[in-house]
Amino acid sequence: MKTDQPPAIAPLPIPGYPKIPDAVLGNGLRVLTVEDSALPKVSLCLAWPTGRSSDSTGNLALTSLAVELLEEGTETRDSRQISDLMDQLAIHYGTQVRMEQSQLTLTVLARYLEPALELLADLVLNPAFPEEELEKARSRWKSHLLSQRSQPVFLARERSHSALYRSHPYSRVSFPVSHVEAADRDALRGVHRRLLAPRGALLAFSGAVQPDRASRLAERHLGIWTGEAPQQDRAPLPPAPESRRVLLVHRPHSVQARIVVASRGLPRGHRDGTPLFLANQVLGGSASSRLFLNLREDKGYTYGAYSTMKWYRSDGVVLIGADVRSDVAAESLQESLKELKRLRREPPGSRELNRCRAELTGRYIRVLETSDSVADLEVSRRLDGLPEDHYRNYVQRLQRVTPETIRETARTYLDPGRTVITVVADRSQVEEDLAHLGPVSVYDTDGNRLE
Amino acid sequence: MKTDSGPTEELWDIPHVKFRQETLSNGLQVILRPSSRVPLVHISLHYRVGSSCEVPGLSGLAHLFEHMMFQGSRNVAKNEHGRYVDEAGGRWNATTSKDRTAYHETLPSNCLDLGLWLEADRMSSLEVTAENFENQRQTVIEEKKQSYDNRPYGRAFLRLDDLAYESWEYSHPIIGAVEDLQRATLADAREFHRTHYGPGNAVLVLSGDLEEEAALESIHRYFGSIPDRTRSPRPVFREPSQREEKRETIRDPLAVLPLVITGYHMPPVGSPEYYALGILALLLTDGSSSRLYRQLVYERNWVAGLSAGPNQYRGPSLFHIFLQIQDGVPVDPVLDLVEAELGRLCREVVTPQELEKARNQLAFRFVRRLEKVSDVGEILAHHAVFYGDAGEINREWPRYAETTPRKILQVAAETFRPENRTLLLVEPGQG
Repeated sequence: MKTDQPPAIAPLPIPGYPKIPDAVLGNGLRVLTVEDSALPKVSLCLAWPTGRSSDSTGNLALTSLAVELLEEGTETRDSRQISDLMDQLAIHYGTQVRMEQSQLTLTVLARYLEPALELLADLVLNPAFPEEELEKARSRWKSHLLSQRSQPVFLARERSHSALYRSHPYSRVSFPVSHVEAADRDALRGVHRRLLAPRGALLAFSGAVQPDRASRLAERHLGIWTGEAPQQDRAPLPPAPESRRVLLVHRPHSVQARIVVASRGLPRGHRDGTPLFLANQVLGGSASSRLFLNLREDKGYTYGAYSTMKWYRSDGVVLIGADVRSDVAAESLQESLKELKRLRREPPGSRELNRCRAELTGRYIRVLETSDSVADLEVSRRLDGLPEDHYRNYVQRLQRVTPETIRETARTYLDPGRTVITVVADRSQVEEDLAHLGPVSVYDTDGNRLE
Repeated sequence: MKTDSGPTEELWDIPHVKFRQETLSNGLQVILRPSSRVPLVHISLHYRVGSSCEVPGLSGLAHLFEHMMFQGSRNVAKNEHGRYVDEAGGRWNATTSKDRTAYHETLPSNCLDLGLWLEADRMSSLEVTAENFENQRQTVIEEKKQSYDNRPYGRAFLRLDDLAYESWEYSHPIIGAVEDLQRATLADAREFHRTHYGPGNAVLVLSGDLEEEAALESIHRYFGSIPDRTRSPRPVFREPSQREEKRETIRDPLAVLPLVITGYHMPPVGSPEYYALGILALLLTDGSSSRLYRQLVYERNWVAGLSAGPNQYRGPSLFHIFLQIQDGVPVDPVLDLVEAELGRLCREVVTPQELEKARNQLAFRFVRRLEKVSDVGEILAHHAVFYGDAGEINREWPRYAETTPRKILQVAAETFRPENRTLLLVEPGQG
């Protein structure tokens, strides 16, 4: 048997996107079930269509603090009793406040599902927001916000979002310590009342539970919850940059440079979303993509270089990012811009495009592997208002994109002349070289403009 | 905690993992674990070589080799390994630890043979050229900067083992010293490959959507004729027992909060002590009701983050405790409190309620890790390499469950002695 050629590959039957039954309770809460009884465990995800960008009070810390403090005391249980119960039953509980979505997730051995759901309902319906717990949360957040400012990835993301979105809520990748200090119990109660309501929210069960039992349990424990869906105002987006900007965040003692090239992308569900996603994959979606091969394998400038996409409901961002040697920061940026230009100049080859389609198809199959990740996908699909067949037709949509469509899409949306370039590094090592890319604005790690 | 969920004994319905084991005539150990929920298969190939197998002056070679394995072989060009896997819609990676180097691919199951062909080709005919070696040496030096030098506490993580261990095998960093990386020659790299990379020094695990007989046939086809020339010596650990506490303070300009890293010497992974210390770690720092979290984070807010646990080393191991101290909080009272809590574990048996809590948490962990074919595959390979038997995956749970409060007390008393401790304090600032 010859083994000097790769083996032939049989076609792969793509697994179908599962049918996900849902039911709506009288209070408007929608209950989904992704049943999978292979293992004796169940996850719950309670999600709201509101996040960091939804807060209209001017205090950007409130949603994060309110969601976090749910587990720190209810009318009948104090913080210790709650954590004792969670740990005793091995309830794995977590919260997330994203740009436009907030959620509580919980995973538990199937036999503890009912006590876990009873606890979750208590947290959501009867939070007490105790003052002493709020004070502790303030202190935790202060440490967290302080330590965020030592991370190059965060600093680059903050600076580029701020340049792309100015005062629009999408610039809110974090919030200042002063907002944490100003948050009080009344404000948290207000957020709880206004934003964390059953109508418009989703409760997804995944794992070893049948849909009718899921609905029954939800009704039993969350049926008495009341509240109307929040008003969602969409702030107008600022225009995309007219010309290239170069921003430098001076991080003393940095031994590398974090480089980011940011472009405005597309909102989730946009008809050009699939070709843009594939264009991004060609550019830097994997370790076989152009950026990685150029900056790491060919030049040895970095350990890894990628491009990623952020999808929001009204807009999106395409971000090229790498940690590179400080002495080649400017060259690395030039190469990244060259790759953007190449994407606009010539369509990708068919082998390259097939690889990108396969990478995204493979990722999709891996998501289908666990009921929790399917539930997560379905929750976001519904909260973002994507059509029901969005994932059912996902692989076919990838197949339909041609090399020429990718070039056209790149020409329309990825203009190297309208990007925001951000470098996080010790300024003494990079500033002079960066000047070749355009006038450089320098900031400190707190976001203050430096001379 | 009583619930309406029935008697405690019924709790422990951890699914049994069935698998098949074979050894080829060239020594390659093969483990097959079929399951077919989605059309995915995971291939895991672990070589019994890690940084502990390196010789002084050539640190970092095991990890550098992990990079070299992507630089091309007889039928697969430089960087084509990853591209083949990407083109198939798969995922690939590799990691190096002190005791082993692991390569893995998760592929749509129609591409199983492709994955086997790729792994067999680089096992049998890796091309170690001067150009590739030089390029990867530079990449690794950048990796070191990104993962350690430019990251808060990065250097401290490397320093702990350096300080705690007397013997070379575990004291030096996996990533290697830059001067060693620069010193290594092409001949050294080729020699390293000859010594450690062959079927007799490897474990191959397939997990997921596969048909056993067909998979075995493919394994024979691709790996069966690879001769075994390895003569990989097992490292001999001569770590003397520590007689007095070691303590050091270092300064880190990238850190914003002080960090205390403590290591207590302990026996290897899989020893009775390892399981007892696993339970102790759960009681100390896992969850907000754990002893140290409750006192240091919840009640006093002295600490911003903490973790503890036994390291998974095949040789003499360490039980680590990390404490990130809040800004402005003096370090000594924090250490006194930790010391007092460890002392209590040496004197008082843990309560039945705490033990049941730990068991619930372990049961949860053992169920959850069976969800993905990649996790199951990696665990089977890990057990085969570290315990010499993949069947340990089914015995691990009983070993925890059978660990008694008395045993936990005894192990705590043996381990948490001041003279057995290495303590590294990292202070923010120039140094």
